[in-house]
Amino acid sequence: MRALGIGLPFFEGLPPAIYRDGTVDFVEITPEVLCRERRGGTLELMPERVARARDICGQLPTVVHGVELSIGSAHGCNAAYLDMLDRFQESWPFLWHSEHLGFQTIGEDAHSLATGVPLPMPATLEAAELVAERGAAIQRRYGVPFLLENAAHYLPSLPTDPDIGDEAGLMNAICERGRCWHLLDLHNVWCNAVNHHHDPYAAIDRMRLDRVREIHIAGGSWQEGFWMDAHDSRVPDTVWQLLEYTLPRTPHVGGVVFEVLEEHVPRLGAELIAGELARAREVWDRCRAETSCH
Amino acid sequence: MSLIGFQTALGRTVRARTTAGAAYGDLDLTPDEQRSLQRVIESEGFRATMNIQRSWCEARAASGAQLTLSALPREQRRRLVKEWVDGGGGTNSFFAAEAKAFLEFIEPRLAVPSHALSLCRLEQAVLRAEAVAMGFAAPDPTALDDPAATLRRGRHAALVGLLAEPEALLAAVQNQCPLPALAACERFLLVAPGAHGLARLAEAPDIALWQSLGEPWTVARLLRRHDRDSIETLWREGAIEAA
Repeated sequence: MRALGIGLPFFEGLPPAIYRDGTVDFVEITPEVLCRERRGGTLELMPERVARARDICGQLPTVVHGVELSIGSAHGCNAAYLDMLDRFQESWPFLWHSEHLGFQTIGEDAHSLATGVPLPMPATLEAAELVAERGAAIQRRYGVPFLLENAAHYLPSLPTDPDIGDEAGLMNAICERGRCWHLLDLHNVWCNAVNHHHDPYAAIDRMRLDRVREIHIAGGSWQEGFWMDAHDSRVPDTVWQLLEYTLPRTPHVGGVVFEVLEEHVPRLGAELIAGELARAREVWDRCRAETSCH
Repeated sequence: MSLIGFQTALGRTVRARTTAGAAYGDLDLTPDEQRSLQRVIESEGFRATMNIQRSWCEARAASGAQLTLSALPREQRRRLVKEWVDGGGGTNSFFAAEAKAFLEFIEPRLAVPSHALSLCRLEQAVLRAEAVAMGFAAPDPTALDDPAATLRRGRHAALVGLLAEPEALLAAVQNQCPLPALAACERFLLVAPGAHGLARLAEAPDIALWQSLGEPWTVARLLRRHDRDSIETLWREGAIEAA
């Protein structure tokens, strides 16, 4: 699969030019933002919003980055999301599909209750097998690579199995068992390293970097003594350094996406966002050139 | 610890926003598992996670009722959002579903009459109209040529009374200025999926026609009291529809 380059999530609020003037090489779509929830929990794509997004994005290659699947929920993941994604793929094909490794619903009396915030998976064999099986099924269902994003979280002492070890071990086990790919979020790696007091480079070194298909970079901020995965600012220098370290070690990476939360887009502005994308491209071009020389 | 046990305990505790452990007392956990969970739940990181969850829930709720909340004193606004989130609200990440539920929750808690109550009804009406507006196409008016055709109020339309000039009230709310005094008479907004911007000032013929359709009427009966143009306007906007 060809490498795409530099990507940006789709934001209606940004000037459309940013998707058309060569600033980005591909766009990351979160289909849920183009949906409404119907009675009974089904997700309905709003055709006019999909059409508007397609119009803005023009001919850019598209990848999907979902947020509502809750792939790790032991009681069952969000089938309504997958039903919606079936319809989305029919109307707007995508090159790969990613989701977050975690859970955000629990089962109570045959109902699914939202936790209101994504929560991390324990590094256990049961968790690895459950997600790997679902990931493999999703990959078959859509016929494109399925990627899982490593999570940022603030919880210490999560349950672990010796065979899995830690978060890196959990992601490796899922990718190996389910033949899934890894969406390596470097800001999340940085958050966890700062908040749980470990070395981010050592964490990256333990990952199956040959399974990394996409990389996320983002900014955050301090709150309550934690570095939050807030997506509210520029990419910190520490994360740029992680990108420089990681890119030459990821032979199958297809692109780097600068993530920012839509609510912060007006404050940050198109110029700052374009600046971060330009810096990402500079790192991408240099690291890719170095990789091809070796 | 089983995955489902871990997730149920953690998820319930986040939802209940407690560190007491009471949220999972009924789960079949060994003493070791309970101690392990307690270590997670008593951590600073768990408190931070609960605070993130709370702020997200409050933000989701508040974004669905911006006009209504803006018309309330700060303390009442804070109390209503808190009560909703304390009861488990704010967890739905889909705007319309969350907004609908929160507006239904606050409506009976608002003073009668009040600008906040009127705005709450307006926001509910806009949500209903918005739900179908994107796919809405003005229906063919020749359907009104059949005198036996029966019409009713549109299921996604509403006539909402405001106790002030709508423009003045909305401007005051949006600019955080003092609200106009409650007027003795209502001014009405017609909310409908085909209306420009989903809402417009209702004129006397619109109001009379809407009031006639408290129950379905035939076109022939409507034409005895209302003119064809008024009927056709509301029909094109989706404010009235075939019964």
